[in-house]
Amino acid sequence: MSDTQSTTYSLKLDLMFVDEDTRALTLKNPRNDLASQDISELDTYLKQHNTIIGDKTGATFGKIKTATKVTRQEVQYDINT
Amino acid sequence: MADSVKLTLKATDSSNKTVTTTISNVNPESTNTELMTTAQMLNALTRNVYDSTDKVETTNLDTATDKTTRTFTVSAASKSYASDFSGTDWKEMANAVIFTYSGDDNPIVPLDELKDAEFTVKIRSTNNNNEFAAFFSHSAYTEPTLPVTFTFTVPETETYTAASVTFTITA
Repeated sequence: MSDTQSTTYSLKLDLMFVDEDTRALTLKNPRNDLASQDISELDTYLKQHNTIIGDKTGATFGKIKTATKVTRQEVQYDINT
Repeated sequence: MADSVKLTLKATDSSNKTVTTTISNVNPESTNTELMTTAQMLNALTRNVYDSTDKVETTNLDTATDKTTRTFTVSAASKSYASDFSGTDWKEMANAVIFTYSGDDNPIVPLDELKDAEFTVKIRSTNNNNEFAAFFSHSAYTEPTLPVTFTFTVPETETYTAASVTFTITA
C-alpha cells in the first residue's frame, strides 16, 4: 500500500439576492476553458428569468457576486504499513 | 413566502459516475422551460454530461399533503462544448461567415468526435444586438484533420459579430 493523492475541481458561484443575502452554489468538474463571458451569460439569464430565489424571504435574484474555480488536493496517508 | 422548492440536476462525469447538484429555493413560478434552460446553462459550465435517463425535478417541500413534483427530461443526450474557434472571416457579398478551428495542444473537442458533432452558432447583430442562432450539421467535414473550416449562411438584412459557437455531440 502507499499514500493516495487525488485532485478535485469545482466552480463556486456566490449568488446575491436583492435583500443582500448570499449563498453559494458549487458545481463539480468545471470546464477547463471557462471564461468570464460564460458566467455573465448565466448571470443575465438568471436576472431575466429569476429561476433561483433567496432562501429566507424568497428574494429576487440580484447577481452572481463572485465565481471561483477551486482546486482541492487531498493526500490519504497509508497508515497500514 | 413561497413554498420551498429545490432543483436537482443529475449528470454523469467523465468516469460515468453520477454527479448530483441540488439548488434550494428555485422559483416555484418558473416554467419547466426556464428551469430546464437554467439546468442546461449550469451544466454547460462543467464537463459533466446529461445522459438520456437524467431528469431535472422540482419538488415542493412544504408539507406532505401539499407536495407536488414536476419532472422533465433534459432535452438531449449530448455533450456541449464552448467555442474553441479562432478568427472569423466575414464574406459580405455571400452573406456567409467562416469559422476556422485550428485546435490546440489540449482540444476541448477530440477531433475524432468532431465528425459526429452538430453546431449551434450564435451571432449577434451589430445593429440592434439581437441574437441569431444558426443550427447546422457539418456534413462537409469528414476527416479529422486541422484546420477545420465551417461556413454557414446568415440573413442578408443585418450585419453580425460572432458571439459563440457550441458543439453538441449526441451520445
